Amino acid sequence: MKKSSLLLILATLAVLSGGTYAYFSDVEKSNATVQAGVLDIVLTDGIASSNSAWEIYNWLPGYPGEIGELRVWNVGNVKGSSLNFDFTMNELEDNDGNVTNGLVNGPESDTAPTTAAGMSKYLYIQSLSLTWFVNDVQQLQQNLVYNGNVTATGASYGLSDLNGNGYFDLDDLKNCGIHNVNPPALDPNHAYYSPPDSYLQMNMNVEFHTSAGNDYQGDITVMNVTVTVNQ
Amino acid sequence: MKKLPVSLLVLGLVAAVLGAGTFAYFSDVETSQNNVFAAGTVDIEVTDSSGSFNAYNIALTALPGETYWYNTTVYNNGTSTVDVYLKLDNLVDSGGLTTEPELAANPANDINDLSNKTYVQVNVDGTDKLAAGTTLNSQAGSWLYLGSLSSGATMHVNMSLHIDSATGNAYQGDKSTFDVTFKAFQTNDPNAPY
Repeated sequence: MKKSSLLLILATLAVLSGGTYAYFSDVEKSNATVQAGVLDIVLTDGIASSNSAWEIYNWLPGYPGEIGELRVWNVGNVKGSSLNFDFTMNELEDNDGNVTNGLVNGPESDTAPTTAAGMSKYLYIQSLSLTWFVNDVQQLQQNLVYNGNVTATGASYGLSDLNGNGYFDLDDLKNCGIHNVNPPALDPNHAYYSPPDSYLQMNMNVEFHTSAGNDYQGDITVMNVTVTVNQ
Repeated sequence: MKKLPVSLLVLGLVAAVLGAGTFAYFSDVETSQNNVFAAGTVDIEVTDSSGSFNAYNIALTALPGETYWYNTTVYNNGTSTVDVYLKLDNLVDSGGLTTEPELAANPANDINDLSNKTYVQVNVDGTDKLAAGTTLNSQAGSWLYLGSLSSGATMHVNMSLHIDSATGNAYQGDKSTFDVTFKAFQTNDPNAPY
């Protein structure tokens, strides 16, 4: 027999007998998963909706202030590094403070009957605060504005009387915003109004300054508040 | 071969520039909309019997002992309850026309204080706000409170002018002119007269 034939036979036997070997073995598998975190906030006020948290009509200078609040809920699984509040003001000329019946110039006693420009400078912020709650327990309250004056804490967020009228108002707030705020703790249930609750609450008391004058009779300021959480 | 590191550096820079626009850290945004701060209005409309509000003109017509009533209506055209005040001001007494009987009674024609001989009375919806016996001169320049007026409501303000029946010929043709001003104040205005 040729040497090459012998080698072929041995190779064939080796292949055929391979299935009968049964050495001990063990296998462990690590199932690695990469899942993106969820950065998700919800905005509410004292009720579920966050819209119209401040809403007052037929308001006259010196009348009692309009008090409102917003709550920021962290319902994702990543807290985020910072939170920003940004504000827009839309000043609308009107003759009776009622948007639903149309915007009309006037009334006769309005000394600037074609414009509401500058109204938000007279919407004086009596107080503005941020309060953090964890599991329904208040952890920290920061007063940013008190009696129309920016506090040291408020200044640390960059708040200042930018328009220089002697008090802090919605016009200043629009231009300053409130930035780099510590986000609220993650809500334990990842759901708002499902106790125990964790959230950040912003309270603001707005007054119509007594120096407003007849330029703003019947006029309207509509404020939008945008809250952004960043990773 | 010396060019290779330079090429790699260029490639790296290009990749970095191209990749810059694709960074997208996580964030979430929520907005609270339609927060409304709406001013009310303080606005009154005054009309007299002519349908407008014109200057009272009793020159040449007033005689001692007679009473002249001037009726006005104040309508609250604003959205708020207001306090309404009335003021007679910019009072000026003058000699007016010079007549022969006047010169007979007062040859120097230097008696011209008709406002001291004229009495004013004001009532609102039948209730006296300024009782009879107050002279025009003493009332001039002072605010008179007429009452509170709710939005959409009306008050009828009647004012009488009465020249003292004892006023003699020295006042013939004399004249008093003054402005009549109605003013509405918002109810919490600390600057309201009272």
